[in-house]
Amino acid sequence: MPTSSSTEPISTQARDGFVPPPEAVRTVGRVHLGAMREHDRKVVLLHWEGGRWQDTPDWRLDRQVIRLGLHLQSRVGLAQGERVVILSPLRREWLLADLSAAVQGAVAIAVDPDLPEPALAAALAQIAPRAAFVAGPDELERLESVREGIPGLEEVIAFEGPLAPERAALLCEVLDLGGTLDTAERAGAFRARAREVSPDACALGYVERGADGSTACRYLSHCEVTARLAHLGARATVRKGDVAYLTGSAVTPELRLALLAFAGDGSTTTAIGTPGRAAVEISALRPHKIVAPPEVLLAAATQVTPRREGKGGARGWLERAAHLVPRSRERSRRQESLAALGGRARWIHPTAVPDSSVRGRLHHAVTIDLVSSDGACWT
Amino acid sequence: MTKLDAVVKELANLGWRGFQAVNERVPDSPSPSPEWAPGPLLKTYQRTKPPLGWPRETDSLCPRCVVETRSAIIRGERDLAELVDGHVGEVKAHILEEGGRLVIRKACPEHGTFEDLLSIDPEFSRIVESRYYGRDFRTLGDEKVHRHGTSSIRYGRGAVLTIDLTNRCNMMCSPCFMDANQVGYVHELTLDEIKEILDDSISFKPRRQMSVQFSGGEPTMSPHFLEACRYAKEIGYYSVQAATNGLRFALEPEFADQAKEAGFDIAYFQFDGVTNEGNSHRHITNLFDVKQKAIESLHAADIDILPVTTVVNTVNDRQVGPILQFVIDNCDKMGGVSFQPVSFTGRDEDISDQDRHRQRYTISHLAHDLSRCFDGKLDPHRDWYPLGAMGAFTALADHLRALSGPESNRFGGLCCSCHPNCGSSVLLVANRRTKAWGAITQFFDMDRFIKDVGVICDTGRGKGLSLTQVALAFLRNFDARKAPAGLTLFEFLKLFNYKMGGSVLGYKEKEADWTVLWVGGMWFQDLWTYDFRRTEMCVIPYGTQEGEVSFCAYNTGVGWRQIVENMHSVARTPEWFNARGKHKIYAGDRPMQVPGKPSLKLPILQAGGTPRVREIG
Repeated sequence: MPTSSSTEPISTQARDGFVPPPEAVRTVGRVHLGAMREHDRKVVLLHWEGGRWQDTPDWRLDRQVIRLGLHLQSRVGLAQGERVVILSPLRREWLLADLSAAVQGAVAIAVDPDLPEPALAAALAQIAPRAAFVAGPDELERLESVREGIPGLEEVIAFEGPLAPERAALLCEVLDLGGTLDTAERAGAFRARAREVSPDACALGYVERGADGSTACRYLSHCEVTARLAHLGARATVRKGDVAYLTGSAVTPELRLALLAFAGDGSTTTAIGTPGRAAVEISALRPHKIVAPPEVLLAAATQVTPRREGKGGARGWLERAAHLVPRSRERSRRQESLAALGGRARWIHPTAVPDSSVRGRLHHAVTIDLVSSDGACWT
Repeated sequence: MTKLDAVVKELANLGWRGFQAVNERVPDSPSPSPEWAPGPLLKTYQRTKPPLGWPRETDSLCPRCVVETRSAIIRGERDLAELVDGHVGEVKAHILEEGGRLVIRKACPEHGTFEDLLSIDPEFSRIVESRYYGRDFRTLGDEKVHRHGTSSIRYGRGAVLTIDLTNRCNMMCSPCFMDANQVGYVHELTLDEIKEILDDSISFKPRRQMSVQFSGGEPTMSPHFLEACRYAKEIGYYSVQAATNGLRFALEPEFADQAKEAGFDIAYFQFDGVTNEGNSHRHITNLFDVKQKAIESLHAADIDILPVTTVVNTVNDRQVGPILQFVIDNCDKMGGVSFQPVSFTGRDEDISDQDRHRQRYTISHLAHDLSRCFDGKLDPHRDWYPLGAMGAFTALADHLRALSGPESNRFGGLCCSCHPNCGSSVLLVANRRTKAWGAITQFFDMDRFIKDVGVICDTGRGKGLSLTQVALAFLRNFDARKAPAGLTLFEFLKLFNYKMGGSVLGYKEKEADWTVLWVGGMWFQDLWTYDFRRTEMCVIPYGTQEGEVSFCAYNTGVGWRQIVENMHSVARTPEWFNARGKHKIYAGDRPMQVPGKPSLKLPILQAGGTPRVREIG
């Protein structure tokens, strides 16, 4: 069982179908540094807050990764190969937490905060993290209920409060403290350290639940992660000005890899979806790429059906006539679905195996990517 | 000059005179009242001026009384209200001409007589004062922001709003009016405080465009530098600059790109000489090499660079010529240079009288040194205008924008209307490729053009007629015979339009080959040269937690800096280092390590003035 001080990856076998990328971008850190140094993108993330979309510019993400990373290094004592867990649903701070650990050679592990307590306790005991990120007070409480089993845990950082300071540090305060560590010399050293991380070292982890309720932590090395990112980049072609929309209640490996891929390509702006607002947000943003659970995709795709009967003239009659033909009717429904998803999506990736209704509605209209993170093909 | 140029000039002159023959007989139209202004735009005859000429009497400070009172307030023995409501250390001073020099002399009943030099060329000073365009609006609704007793700003919009983000610095220089690293406490603004200062700055009238200058200590050491740049742009300011030593940009080139993305436009760049020896008083032995690396990073990120040189007589005064030559030779990367004659404040307030007299350097010194260095190509009497003369161009820009409709009226133009003794400048044109250059006043009758601008603004005609007059004024004052080789009328007009924000031609386009270089002398006051008539019309205030304070009242004078910083200090320095970590300080006469080597070919003048091309890296 790996300990928090272990630097040996559990699984470093390259999977079939994923070709290792060039040496220059074979670690998460190098991908991130490359994206931050040479890019055409002004905004890396969007999230909905206060009644409008709030942006995170590229430069802010870069600085925050450095500051949070320096805080973890200098104040928490996080070393390369040690573990950091993230107990949170998808939100804008997720990418920051993930990168701050992975870029400097620590291992960031996603843990579903809704795991039953025994499974959560077992998973965390197995992982033995040095630091933990939690979304807020609820997730903190869950962590504290099993904290006895993780004696090596040094610090807990919460994305939002309110919290008593002795229970956890708030991310905004940590960034503030990290800000004064953020000097040119330390930032340079942080980047140099990121470049030195071995591609064979562990980068990311996630917890799998077995049918019997047992948990097992799976790891991906930097080389494996970047191979998947490159694969995603090839399937979801990158164009300047692209907008991606990501949503999901749990941060699945697919969702996480997509988030890293879009942030790392240096061109895509990623909108983090708000629970319950996917259809509205997709309709407003008109993203070029969508990653979402199948049920969300289906709900969004069936949102708006333009009333055919209202159209007059020859065009309206032609459309009504075409609707009587099954093939035309099917094509027409797919086009309506695409229109309901904003009309610009070139690539759609469900985060779980979609049922035939989703496949049927979307297939052929856009590239719907049914290849999962472990290489399994769903078509 | 071709015959066509001569004909155009003469026709324009006739056209102007013919136009004015009618124009001046028609009553002046009322001035526009844009939303940002406290009233209608000022006619020239409505602009006031401070007392000028000599001999004259003014209000000043006793250097000893002020220091004693300030210390007592900081120790808590006397009340801050004394500074606001009282007349601490105030004495009358006389400005007079003696022995071919201008001097300021004052007497304190307790501490005796003090005297200092203001100018080595009274005729230079007289001409500069005569070219002053007049004061701007009085401020209105500014009680929250301007509340500093006799040190309060009373006139003008301001041109540069300085905000000290932190008093921490990564150098230990002498001179340093900040006294960074020596005061024993850390004064650093939070992001909320920065936002509040910026919000307050647009809360009263005249609401004006300013260049927001983040300063310190070293502003790039503040963790909020990037966010501060972004917020300044968000609330509507179009120019963000930082007074920086450039070390961060040399050490971390990525930071320059990020700063540009965040809204950072201009590096007001500390630059004391074109050799490492010329910078030796900054205590980093390879500082010039580091500066070159910083210039490379800033230029690559498309950030404008304005070198700033503190000139100290007998220390680096011989560098002024080589520095200007360096700027001309790199005019594709730099927009000019700001020479700042030393002000004995901060760490240098304890200077002995002997050293003060020996090191004193004035703008008149600068004008004559540059004239000598360039064999008379720059003329002290022809070429130097007070910074406040720029007010004429702002008045024209305000007038034209007001005629363009309400959408262009959220902010008044950037207006430099400071006292003529605060600073002077000369404008050069330079070709980025050929490096040909000349003073604008060599081929353009600036005196007459400013008078023409006054007529245009005073008569206040509609947009078409105003632009017609601008064109005629421009053409009649431009003498192509005397312009540098290759500078045509149209190129000069494009330069002028760009500097006016596009308000003449209706679009803003950067001229490709030619650029304007601003060569300025900004002479901040110290306790020996202090004049309240200057501080009350300061255009470069400090935005602080205690309102906007005149630059000189903050850094010297009664010492508002020490008072504000003590009131709002965050921690004692050792506590700060303990809790937050210590930043690296480059000092002790050692070299700095920077990543890589600068790869620019920078023509450098050796200390003796002989040019050579130095290939770096």
